[in-house]
Amino acid sequence: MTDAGRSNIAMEGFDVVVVGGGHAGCEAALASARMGCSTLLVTLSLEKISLMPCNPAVGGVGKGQLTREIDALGGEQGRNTDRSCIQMKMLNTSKGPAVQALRAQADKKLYEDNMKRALAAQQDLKVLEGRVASLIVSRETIGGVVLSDGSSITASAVVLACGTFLNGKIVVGDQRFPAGRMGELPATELSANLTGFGIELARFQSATPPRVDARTIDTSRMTLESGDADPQTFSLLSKGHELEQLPCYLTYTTEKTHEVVRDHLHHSPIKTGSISGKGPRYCPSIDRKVMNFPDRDRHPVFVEPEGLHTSEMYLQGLTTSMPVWVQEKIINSTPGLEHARLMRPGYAVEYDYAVPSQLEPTLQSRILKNLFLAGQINGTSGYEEAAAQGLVAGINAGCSILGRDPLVLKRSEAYIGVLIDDLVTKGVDEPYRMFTSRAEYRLLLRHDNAHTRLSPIGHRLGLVPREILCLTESTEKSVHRLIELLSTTRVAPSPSSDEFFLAHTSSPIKETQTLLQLLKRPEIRLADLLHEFLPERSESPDTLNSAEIQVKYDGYIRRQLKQVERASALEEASIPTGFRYADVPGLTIEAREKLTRLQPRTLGQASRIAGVTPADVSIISIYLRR
Amino acid sequence: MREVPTIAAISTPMGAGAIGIVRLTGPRAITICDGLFTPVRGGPLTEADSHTLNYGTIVDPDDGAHVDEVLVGVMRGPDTYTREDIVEVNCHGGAVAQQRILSLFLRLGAELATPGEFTRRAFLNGRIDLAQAESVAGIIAAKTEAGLRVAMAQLEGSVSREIGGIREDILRVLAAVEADIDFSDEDVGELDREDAGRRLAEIESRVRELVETALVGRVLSEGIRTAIVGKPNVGKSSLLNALLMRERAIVTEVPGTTRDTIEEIINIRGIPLQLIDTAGLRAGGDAVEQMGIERSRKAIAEADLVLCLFDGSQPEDDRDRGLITSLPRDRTLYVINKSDLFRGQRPRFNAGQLPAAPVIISAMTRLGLRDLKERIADFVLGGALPPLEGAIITRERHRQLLEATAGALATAQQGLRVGLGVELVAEELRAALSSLGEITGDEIVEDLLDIVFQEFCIGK
Amino acid sequence: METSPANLTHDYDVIVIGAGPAGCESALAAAGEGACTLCLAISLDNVGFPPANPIIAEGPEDRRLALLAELRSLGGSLPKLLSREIIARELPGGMLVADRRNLGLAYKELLETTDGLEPRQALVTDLETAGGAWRVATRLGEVFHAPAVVVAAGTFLMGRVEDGKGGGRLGEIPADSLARSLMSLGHKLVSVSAVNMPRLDRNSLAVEDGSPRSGDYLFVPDGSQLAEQYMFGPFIQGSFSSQLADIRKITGQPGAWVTRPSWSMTCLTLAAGQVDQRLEAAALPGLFFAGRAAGTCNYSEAAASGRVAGAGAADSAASRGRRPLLTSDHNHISELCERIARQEDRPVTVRIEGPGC
Repeated sequence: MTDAGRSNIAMEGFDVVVVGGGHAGCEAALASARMGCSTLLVTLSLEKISLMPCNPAVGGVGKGQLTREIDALGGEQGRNTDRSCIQMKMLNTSKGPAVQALRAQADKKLYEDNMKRALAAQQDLKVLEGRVASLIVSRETIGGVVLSDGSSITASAVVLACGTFLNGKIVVGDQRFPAGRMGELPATELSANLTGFGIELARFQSATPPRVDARTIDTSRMTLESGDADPQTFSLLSKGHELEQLPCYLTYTTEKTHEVVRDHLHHSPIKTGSISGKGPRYCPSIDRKVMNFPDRDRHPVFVEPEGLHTSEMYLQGLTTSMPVWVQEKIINSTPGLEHARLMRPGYAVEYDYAVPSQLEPTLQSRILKNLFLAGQINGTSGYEEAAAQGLVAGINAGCSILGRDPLVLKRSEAYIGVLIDDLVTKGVDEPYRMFTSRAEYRLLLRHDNAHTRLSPIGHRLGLVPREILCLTESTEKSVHRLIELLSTTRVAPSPSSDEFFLAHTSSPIKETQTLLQLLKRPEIRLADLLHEFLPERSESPDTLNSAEIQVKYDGYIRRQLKQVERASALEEASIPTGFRYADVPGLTIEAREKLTRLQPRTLGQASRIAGVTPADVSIISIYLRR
Repeated sequence: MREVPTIAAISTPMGAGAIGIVRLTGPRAITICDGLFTPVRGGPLTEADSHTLNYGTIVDPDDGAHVDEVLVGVMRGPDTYTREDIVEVNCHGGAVAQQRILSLFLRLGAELATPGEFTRRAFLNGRIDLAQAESVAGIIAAKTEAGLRVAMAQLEGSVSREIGGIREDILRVLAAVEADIDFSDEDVGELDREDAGRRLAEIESRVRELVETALVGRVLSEGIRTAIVGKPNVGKSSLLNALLMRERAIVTEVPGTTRDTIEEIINIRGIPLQLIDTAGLRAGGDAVEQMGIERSRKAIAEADLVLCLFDGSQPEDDRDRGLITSLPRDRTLYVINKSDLFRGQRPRFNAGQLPAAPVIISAMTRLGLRDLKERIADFVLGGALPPLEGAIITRERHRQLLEATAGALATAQQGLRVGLGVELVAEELRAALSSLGEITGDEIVEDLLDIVFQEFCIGK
Repeated sequence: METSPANLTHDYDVIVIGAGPAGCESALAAAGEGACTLCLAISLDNVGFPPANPIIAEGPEDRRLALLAELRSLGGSLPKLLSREIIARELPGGMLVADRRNLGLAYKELLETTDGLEPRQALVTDLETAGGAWRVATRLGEVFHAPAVVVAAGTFLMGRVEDGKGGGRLGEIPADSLARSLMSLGHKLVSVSAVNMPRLDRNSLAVEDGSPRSGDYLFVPDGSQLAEQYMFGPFIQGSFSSQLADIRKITGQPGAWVTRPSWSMTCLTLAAGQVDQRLEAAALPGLFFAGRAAGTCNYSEAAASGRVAGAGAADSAASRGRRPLLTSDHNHISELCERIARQEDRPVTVRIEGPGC
């Protein structure tokens, strides 16, 4: 390599540079470009854009709501998943709508290809295969990035979405070597550069299970799990599923499996301590499951196809980083997998992440202006959590450049709001995953009303086309009309109505009631009511669904709305930067320490910090006038 | 635009006098008080002029029972401390009446003021400046909340432990519900509704018991439990009579007690003292004064305050000394009686050996009694015993919160029975935990997740 | 390092190390001959995947077409795949250009649907003889045995991309230990360099469909997903920024954008005279070489050599005599094998990238 190669000519600038082409990076790049900012996506390998290194699935309880919201805001993940979907399932259908969520199995390669096409088709967006070594910073403001070959690219804003590549190390058994993913070298320069600017990094670990060859599985020993017969879509823009749908299979480990695990526990990197960095409790390896739940005589193993044109099958439930030969023994002791041939071994990867409490609720760094961070680099896990952050970071990078107010979603507006608020206010001590139980307003944040909540915002940002907004608005109108109708249509007691109620295990009415009142009974479904008492009325499934939810949940929704209102005074009370908690008397020591360190932006945020009591909050509110 | 709530508080600390004030501020202050007030003369409070005092009685609207004779001050905003309408009820009945009136206000729609809230309104409405507000906030915050926390812990240590236990148990049921929701596509098993219902029923009854017993604190309905002890012939009954005769204000029958002795409540500077085990003392006479050792030990163990009486005209003997060593120093006042017999001179009883300086009185001639009452008041207010004003407020708030908890648990059980969706049952449980959380100040989510992951093997 | 206990090792007839075009063809050939074949790839996401030139043949006269025709008659897979529309197409002017991604995915699908063929992800670190057979060990401690092995390690033997940007390819881990293993088996390896030319954003170029020329450079559509153009011609060095400036001058298009700058690398390949016409190691029976590691220059050559090696390996494993694979109808392939086997010294620096080399 000659010296001529080391050129530091500053490049033409971009408005936004996104570092990392994973799930967060792609959303960020697309959002920023769609807002009209000239955007560059730099990533280590253009081939690996949007790769799904782990579960071949998008969505699930909690995560599906995120993907739905991403679509409502004009992001790409929902659409992309619909295009690549080989099985779709609505979960929790036996439970209420607030906790129902979509989950899709995706063809991984199609998912990648579709995302690449979306990037290529996007105006104002360019991609570059390159390695970012450092940030260009002047006066604590981002000015661009420098590649490892010395090239500099100027930018007004930078989004870091580096995933698990920062100082990544793979661990399997007693083997430990640098890697971002299996076979791929990690990024080693950027971490030191970030630390140099005062960005605090910590270590997490993540693991992935083995893949086996579909040709060697005995599915007759397993339960078949199909998707929905009438599959839905994440995106309102999707017209349906064209791809062939594939089933998954369910089997269970046995006592024999557990014996194998126990006999080889001394090889488990968790036991040997060969892996440092915390991993997630909710995705434990099979070793950890057997250790922590010795009374369970079986653990589920879901066998999931990774695509239509591959024989690789993902073994969900058998995450492990034990030596490969132990993995094979574990697999082969599981019913249906006795002759399964390993295609890829499971492994764990340790990586640096940036402590997320150093972020504003806009995902902008507090340390460097116009630097945004999104995705696993903030200590989250999951493609959906990453994409949600990427979308917000991209939007806010764009807003910063266009001089618009940033997007900060409230906890009462979106799961995305809950996600970011949790990260920024509380920090993380294990890779963060979304659960519905994290959302105190989960009755208000539902799959069915994501577009109603967020499409107007997406439209204002220029990310959601008018047609979607119109669609959403017209559905809302028909829901109102339907509810009106239900409240004015009366049913009198009669032998035929008695029959109806008995047929639906409900008690016959003794006096005239409106359809609205009847719908409030948990056992009565709207579709059945309409069919019986308003048969000429036809409504779209979305309208029916939303109307039913609003009626049945009415009391609870109102209660939550009241809670939101009560909390809103606190949420709107902003705390100026640099507020000195040391000057406020009467705070507990713990509260003072945490508040000073975490620097909440509003009283609402302050109240959510563990250790800060309502009394502390009311004292601070007096001092805010200062 | 949400209506500003009308808040109520007891605003005179105990010990400042026999008169206590319960105060309301807010848009409905006058209407609420009017609902309880029967004027002796004149029209309803709603027609009263601003800055007037109105004499009448407070009557419980449900059963017409007379609560207290009061003077009610009506002040209409904006010329008031908070710039809102203010109503001040001056009551005579001491702590018990104050507390009852406060409860009635809450029942009629007022909200309990948080510490310093009156002052905060004054500041926010521009009535006082920051410095003033700061000083108030500082005092209130440091003393009231912190002091309250300590006090409540001391007074009700077992209570807060019980609340902690209740919270943990509710979390466990909620964890089972949440696991069913968030991990339904894993192998955690569906929620066992019957089992959950049973567990919740048991928890609910514990909460209700807590509301009824522990928090219906002895301190308020029965006063500071005070025992008068001493060897025979030191003048215990004289002291009792002396206290009762002059200061007897209210003798109430306390509902729910199972004691077969008559408890006397005397009001010392607004502090209710409940003299315990006075039956023997009242009967009078030396014969009855021969209190058995067992009885007096029992009295001492149950007392919040012990008045230990000595005959100052005699030198101390072994029985005195035995008594001194057996008494808890942190809640005993030493009283040397019969000063009329050694007037002017030093008592023959050697006070030097007492752990603390004694009060010298003559129950017979009432000499030094005022002193004694001062010392008792100091004792209570000085932090040796829990501050009562705070205890009332906190107790009332806690009672409200615990009742809300119990109510939410009941609704949750009903939901489980009728097949209500688990996410709605979860809402009720969260409401229950939220009410508890205002007492304990704990965060739900992380604790919940901890339990979920401990109890259930999650993990794909 | 811990390796598998003896009873858990896996025995095969043929083990193919590497799943590029050479490795894939070897594995498919061996399995096609009835050998129980294991094909090891460092990453199953890069199977069959050429990172380099998408040009399969420059025109109807290109010798590679003849090579491919011969390969087809031998039952090789590449020609069949290239006849599929989503994998390769002919540009106006007769140039045959492949969609590299789709080609790789198609190869992977073939590996995964062929009976007797097991693809598996592993990084081979050791190759040694063990009791008349070959013992292959991996980074993660897996151990495999087979009587015949095909080394189709591509550019991964001591692969080093400039400026520490990678090993076997850009961003990928090299196979250093395997290289050392081969050397300790007595093989002579020589250093060669390879280059990857830049790719441009098609939308940033004012181009007509087809393959425009600009001086010495040819622009070829490369990849259906990211709308790129491969820039084929004399190597352009330098950092990304200097390449961008140069390319804008060359194309005369100030708005041109480079999506993947060029990069160069060095790696080891087999020196001449190490294998015979069957691509079997002279002194080590049962050990075959194919593809870049053996000294081929391009995709078609890699595939053809793979076919030969694979068949040979299958024969070797079955202890069959060497059946004549190539006939007089396979002149080009024979010539190729001869070249690989030739006694003369290989130049130390060979520009592997280039047509017709």
